[in-house]
Amino acid sequence: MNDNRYILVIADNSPEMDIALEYACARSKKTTRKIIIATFIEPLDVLTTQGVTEIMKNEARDEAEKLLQKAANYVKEKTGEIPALALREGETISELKKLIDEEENINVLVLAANSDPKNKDSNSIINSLVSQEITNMRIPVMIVPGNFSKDHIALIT
Amino acid sequence: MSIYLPIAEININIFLIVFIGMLVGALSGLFGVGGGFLMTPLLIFLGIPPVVAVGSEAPHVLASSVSGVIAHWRKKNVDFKIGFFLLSGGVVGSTIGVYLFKLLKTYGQIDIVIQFLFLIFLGFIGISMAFESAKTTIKNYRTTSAIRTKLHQHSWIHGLPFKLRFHRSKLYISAIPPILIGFFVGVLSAMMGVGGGFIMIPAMVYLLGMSTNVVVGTSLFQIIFVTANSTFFQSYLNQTVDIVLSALMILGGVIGAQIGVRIGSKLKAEYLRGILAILVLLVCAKILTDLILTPFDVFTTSIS
Repeated sequence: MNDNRYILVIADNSPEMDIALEYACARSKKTTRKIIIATFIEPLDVLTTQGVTEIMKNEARDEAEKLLQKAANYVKEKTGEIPALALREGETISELKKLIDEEENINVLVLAANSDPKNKDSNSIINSLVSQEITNMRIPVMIVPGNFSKDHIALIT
Repeated sequence: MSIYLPIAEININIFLIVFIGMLVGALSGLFGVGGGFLMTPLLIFLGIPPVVAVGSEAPHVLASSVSGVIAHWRKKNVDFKIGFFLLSGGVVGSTIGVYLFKLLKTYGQIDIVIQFLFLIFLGFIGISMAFESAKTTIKNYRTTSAIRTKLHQHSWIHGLPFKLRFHRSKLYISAIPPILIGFFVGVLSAMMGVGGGFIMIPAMVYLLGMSTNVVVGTSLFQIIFVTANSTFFQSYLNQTVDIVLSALMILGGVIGAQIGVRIGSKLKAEYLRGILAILVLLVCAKILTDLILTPFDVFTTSIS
């Protein structure tokens, strides 16, 4: 009966992305929920000629598509199912919220936290979600610590 | 409240300078551009001697680029290797630019050269931006055909020696083109008191074919060194850096940039480009009329 409910994972090329995917896959197998992978293209912060702007947008789109492809392959290998994909242009947090509100089948968001204390600029999505938006969320957010091993993830799911 | 600018040798209202700094700071926060190309002409309109406006603008551009570089550095969007070649050309270029500046100053021709450079530079930017903006506003739909990409076919640039691999930029090219581009922009930067990102960014994308992720950060990175060099040589050779003026502009700029960033996310790029084009053309028109109209004092005398 859980067949068309989705676990949302964000693909952002960060080192902790694999942990989030791993956990989502494990959950998916356990609960027969499907996975949706989302990636966001941030708007340009510079004004330059039209030609350059177009090239910048095209390159960003290509990269985002490659990233989705990579994450989708990972999920397919792990679970045998092809995940749903979402590619949105705009500011990450607001687009993320829009996606969750639009796709009513999404019922949990899985994020992984970077466990490297030296890397202060990581976890920007978690930080802004928790500090500003957490009361505006329609669904719960699961945060997987980045130092979990794959075996450990298998053990706890 | 007015203050005496020691190098510019005029009295000017503090709040006016801070306000203009804020305005240009807001624009640069809004557009992600340095703002030097608007600041220098505005200072000249206020009656600050063009040589001092150019000289004092260099530290202002420097200051407003630093925070941008740090932000891009954190996102790993700076290619330091290609940036090094750009800035080594840029440092040489800006040094020569300042010497050229001094030469023209001794002949008494520098003011008119500065105005002409701005007329050409702003005219070019303003007209091309206005065209682009008009085009996208008129046919405001997504064109699926003719997706613009970089020139990936091999041009003469790829035949040059001293080839190096630039990982962040996804390039394997000669070190000569980055040095030359840096040099050219460096000369302009020193003579006009601008950062030169507006020329640098398209050159990096079209001529070098750099990965666009790193273009803005790398451009800002080299601007820091080039404007620092300009500041040093302008004050050493020409004594045209008015530190009081620069400090007031930086103060305004810091406040303005915060405001600009906040407004920026709410506006569409096409409209922003249109607004900037109109601003640039207005400044350009003012420079043109100043050049053409018979001046109040037809003759100037200088004692040397």
